[in-house]
Amino acid sequence: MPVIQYSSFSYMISKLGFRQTMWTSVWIVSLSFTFFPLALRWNQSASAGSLTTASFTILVALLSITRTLGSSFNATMIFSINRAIEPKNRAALNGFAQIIGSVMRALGPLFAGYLVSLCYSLLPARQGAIAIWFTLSTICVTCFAILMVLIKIDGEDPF
Amino acid sequence: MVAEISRDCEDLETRGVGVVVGRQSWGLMVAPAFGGILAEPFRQYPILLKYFPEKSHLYQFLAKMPFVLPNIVGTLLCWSAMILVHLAAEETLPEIQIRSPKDFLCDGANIFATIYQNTANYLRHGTRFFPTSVAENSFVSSRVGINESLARVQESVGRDTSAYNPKDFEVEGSEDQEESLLEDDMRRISELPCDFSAQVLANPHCRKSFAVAIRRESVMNVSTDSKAMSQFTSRRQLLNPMLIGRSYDSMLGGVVDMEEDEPTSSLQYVREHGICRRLMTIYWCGCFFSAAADTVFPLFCMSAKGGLGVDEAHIGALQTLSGTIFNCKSYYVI
Repeated sequence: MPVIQYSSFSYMISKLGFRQTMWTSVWIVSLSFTFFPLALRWNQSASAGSLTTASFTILVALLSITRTLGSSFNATMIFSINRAIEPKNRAALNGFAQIIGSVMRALGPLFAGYLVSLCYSLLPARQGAIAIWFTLSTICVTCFAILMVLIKIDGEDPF
Repeated sequence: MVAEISRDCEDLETRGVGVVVGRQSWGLMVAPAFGGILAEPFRQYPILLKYFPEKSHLYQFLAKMPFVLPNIVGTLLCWSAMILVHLAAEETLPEIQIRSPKDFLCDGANIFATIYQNTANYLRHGTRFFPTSVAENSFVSSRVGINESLARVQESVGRDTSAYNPKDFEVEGSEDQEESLLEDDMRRISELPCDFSAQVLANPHCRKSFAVAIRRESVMNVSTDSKAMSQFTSRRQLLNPMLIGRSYDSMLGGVVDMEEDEPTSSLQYVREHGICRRLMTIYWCGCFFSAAADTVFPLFCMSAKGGLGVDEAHIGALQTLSGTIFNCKSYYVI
């Protein structure tokens, strides 16, 4: 009977630890966002409605990276939250975290739709696409950096 | 749940969360395919008409609601999951906190009553508003139960407190040690300048709650107005031992430091623990940006002006391939 394990996450945790896994995941995911507009450049020779091999390959690679590391980030966060909370409050606070998390998941598409329409309406087409991905990447890494610095200032280390 | 079951074993916790998150990803990838396979069955699989002709009830039902089949299968899977959880999942709550469905109504009333009392205490005595006691009160009162609590109170009224056998009460730990503590508690409570000590003693949880309060030296040094204490002996409070203990504390006008109690309310816990607040904020930001990126990608792909201008089939192919790579990178088979 095959045994399935979550190998990439376990590997990252064993090699890097919690804090470094989180930092690495966020940095690489944010950096990946900035490479999405490359697909536009490599798709110039394609016919309407299709993708060149180069463009298809880079999109698949970037999506795989963001999914894998995004999922590692999520798992690391769940661990860290559980370790920071004493056992008797874990159930309630995990529920609380999930409720607000689902609200944030609902707000994400709202923000994304607004960002896309704003960038495409204010900027020329190609620059608009670049602006979308760079804005997303910059805000993502900035928010994370600020919060990690605040955790360091607080002097408590859950990792 | 995984964190609770793993009992702080880090290796097991890591593997457990990995498996849960990983299986979730598989589900997210496989479920849409199943939905597609089961939708509009008679249009997709005309061979079914051979077994279920147009006059059959099943055909008419599915012709009227062609997308109902995936929903029915989904519902059955949810029910199966519920049954499996009921049969196989280990209960992680301590026994004293396990809830009974029959207590839900009582808890609802209890929550409102506790909020009212906390507010009243705050307005009258200036003691700290303490919403955290709501959940704790509900747990304790449900553990005792209305009928049992009432029976004990009725049984105890008018009876000499010395008539109680200590072995009738629930005790934990070393028998000798607990028996000595119990006798000490009973003596202290019976010396309280109030007219309901017998009722307090009648209920072990009530006794424990009071005992915690009266073991504090500061409390014992305060002269208590028995008339003021009697106002807390309402029927509801007798059903709720923890509330009596807290009321007793707050009635002493702030002599007892309420900060000593560890708050149990989710919101208050988050508010008072900076690290917990920051970590949750990071998690929520992660949820937000993950959802935003998932929305931006198809918009970027479909947009004819400034995007790739590709159709749904191409986006589907991209998502499927990247999802497969993600799953292959995440798992290995031994």
